[in-house]
Amino acid sequence: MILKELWVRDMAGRKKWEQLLRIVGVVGPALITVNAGNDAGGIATYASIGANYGYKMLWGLLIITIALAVIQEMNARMAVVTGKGLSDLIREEFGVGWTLFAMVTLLVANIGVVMGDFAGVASSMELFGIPRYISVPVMAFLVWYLVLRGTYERVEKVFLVFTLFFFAYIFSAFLAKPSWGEVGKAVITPTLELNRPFLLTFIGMIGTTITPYMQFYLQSSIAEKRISWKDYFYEKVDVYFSAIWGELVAFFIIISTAATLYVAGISVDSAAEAALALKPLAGEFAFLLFGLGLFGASVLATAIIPLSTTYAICEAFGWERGVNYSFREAPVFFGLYTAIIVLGAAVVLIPSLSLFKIMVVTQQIAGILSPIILIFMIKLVNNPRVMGEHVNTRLQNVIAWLTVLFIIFLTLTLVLVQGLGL
Amino acid sequence: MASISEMYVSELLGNPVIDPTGERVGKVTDIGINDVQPYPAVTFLAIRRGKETYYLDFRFVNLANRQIFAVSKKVKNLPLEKTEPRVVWLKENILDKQIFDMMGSKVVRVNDIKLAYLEGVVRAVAVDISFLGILRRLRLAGFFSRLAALFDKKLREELIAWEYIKSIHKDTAGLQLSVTQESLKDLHPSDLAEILSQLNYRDSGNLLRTLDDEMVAEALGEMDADFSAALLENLDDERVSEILDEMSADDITDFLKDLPEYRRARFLALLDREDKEEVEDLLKYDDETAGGLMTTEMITLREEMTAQETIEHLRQVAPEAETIYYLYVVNNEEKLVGVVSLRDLIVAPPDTPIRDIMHRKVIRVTDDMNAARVADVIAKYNLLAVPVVDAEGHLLGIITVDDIIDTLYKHQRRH
Repeated sequence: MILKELWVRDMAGRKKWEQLLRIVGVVGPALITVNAGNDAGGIATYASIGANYGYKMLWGLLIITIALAVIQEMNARMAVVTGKGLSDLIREEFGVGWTLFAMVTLLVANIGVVMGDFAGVASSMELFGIPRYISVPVMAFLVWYLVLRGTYERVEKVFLVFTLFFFAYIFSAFLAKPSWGEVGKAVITPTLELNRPFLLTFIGMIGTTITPYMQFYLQSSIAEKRISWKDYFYEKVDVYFSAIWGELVAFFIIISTAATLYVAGISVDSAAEAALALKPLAGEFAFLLFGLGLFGASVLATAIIPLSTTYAICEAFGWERGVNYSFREAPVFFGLYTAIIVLGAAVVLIPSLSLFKIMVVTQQIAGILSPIILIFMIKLVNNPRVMGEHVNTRLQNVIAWLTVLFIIFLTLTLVLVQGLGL
Repeated sequence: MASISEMYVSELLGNPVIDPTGERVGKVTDIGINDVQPYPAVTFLAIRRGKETYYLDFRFVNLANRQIFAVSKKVKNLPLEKTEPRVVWLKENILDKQIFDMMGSKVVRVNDIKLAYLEGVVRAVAVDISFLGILRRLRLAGFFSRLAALFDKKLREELIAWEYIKSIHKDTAGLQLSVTQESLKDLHPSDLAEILSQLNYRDSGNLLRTLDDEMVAEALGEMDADFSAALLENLDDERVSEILDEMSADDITDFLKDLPEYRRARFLALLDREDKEEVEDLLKYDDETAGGLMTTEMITLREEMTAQETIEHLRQVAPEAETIYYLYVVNNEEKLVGVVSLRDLIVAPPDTPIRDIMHRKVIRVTDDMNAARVADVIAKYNLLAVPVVDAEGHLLGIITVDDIIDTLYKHQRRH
């Protein structure tokens, strides 16, 4: 249906295949971003939502999908109109102080996400009997080295293929024969439990989807593509389609874990338990499928996030950046990049910490921090000096602000519940 | 006065403005400068008073010390304008933005701006791009300087003099902040290409608009195709066609070759007829062959021309040609019959015919020859350029040693 729409638009004198090439050229950044968002933390969060709460949070996922689509469209629009990355815009419009605040927020959230992903590396490898003390240092070094050498792109495809294994959840969800009536009802019936685990899990679900790093990453990758305003329609298609696609995968992970683990009363505390949800489809191969998928997704994220975080921060403060520089020319860039990886990997090596917990908790931190970056974004996208006539519509503003207020509301409720000892 | 002969914008913004009776006029939110070169003078202040912003001519203002702006009249007598004067605002247009450092040939971010008394007037003299500048903005400079002193280090400001910066911000890109056009001319095309690639495309577009066609053409020759195309796609047809006019056919071809067909069409349509035919011919060749590497902009001579005539001829055509060290001689059928080096030509008596000084045995390559073989030929005979001929011996173009180096270098990096 989308394709048909594309054919009809802007066909004046252009051949069909030319049109298609144009679309392929534009579509992409959002899809990659959303896919990267379904990383270790995402998988773990969705699996534990399904296993612990059944279908109860599905309504939230629907709302998040809408919020994600609106927010990512704002990023895409800012990228196309200004040609600048988000940190660039924050610096130019808000000055040094606010930039520092935004960048510290981004750094804290992202170090967390990187920890979650190294925990993903560790727990996927543990499924194959490789202890984390070997897998994490080895992968951390490998990613660090390959990305800096610029040879990472060649191996990227392998990890991308691994992530396709997560599509197994879609089939598994159907094979588990969930009660679709119940699923449908849960999607449209908001339920909120006023206790700490529920609220935290819910915030984690938001945090893993509307995570701060994605906004920076998406906006720079679209800005880099130099898409002109007349091709913006296609980028919008990319953004909306990706939001739905990414959340569809999440949707099926929740359903398949709910239909298998929740029903059986198994709460997910480890990767091995999360893999159980794939049993209806893969039987004994469930571990293999889940393990490789988790590994691929985690490695992808550890390669993308430290680098894009470092870029964003160096861009904001005007430091030399890029893997083409030498360490002497760009000490901050290399230092920060290395520190994020080392820190992310080191925490995972603390013996007493549960890997699964790291994956889930780091998403919750990202969720609590996400309104900060969102507020910067809403301010920017409504500034006519930045956006000209392409400021937000009233509807976009309502959705964006409701998202921010909702996350803040959840956080405050959490604090309140915590204080009252509920 | 020495103590306040130099100051930073970060120390001044937000400070109060006070009249002779001590009444507060408001606080300074921005500082406007004129376009005097090389060091523009401060001409206006933007002042926040209550909820309104007013603009005050700087002639009424004295800098009493670093903290306070004193005005010479009572508040009620001050001409506080509500309409914004047309000036460059230091905070809105320069601070925190990326500018273009022409000494270092790179894009940097402005962390602070230095003002100084010059010829009795407060002027903007430099931008600070150092980490110290960031700390100063955060009011942490003192603390960190003392901290650094403990380790026997000194945090230093990193200043770029005003005459060497160029604004690329969209509202002021057209404004000449200083003698920029002149200094830009001194930039090597490769450096300009690098600068353009460091900028986001709006800013690079703005910068392009202020450069002359020839410079842009040369810079485009140094960039990869995707990037050149993106830059050109944001310019209007007329400008694009002027720029393409300045580019050599082989540079245009290199650039078009890497573009998908649907993006090529617009550029091909904008070429003049002669260029278009040449480019279309060149596009047929594979990148990895002599035909794909060659340029068609060479100097050809006839056997019967004299040395003197040839030198006259060179004066006219040399600016367009890729190299003038080798001059190729063709017969009536455009077949390659000889070569004359610039040295041969200059040492020959003026009325010697070319026929008598040319070398008839010309090292040449055919248009379908593999690029690596071409490199071998150039290396073996120590040539600066080698002519390319077709199967019948017609001269098609030349390959210069720098084209070959580019190709080999790209290869090496890929493997």
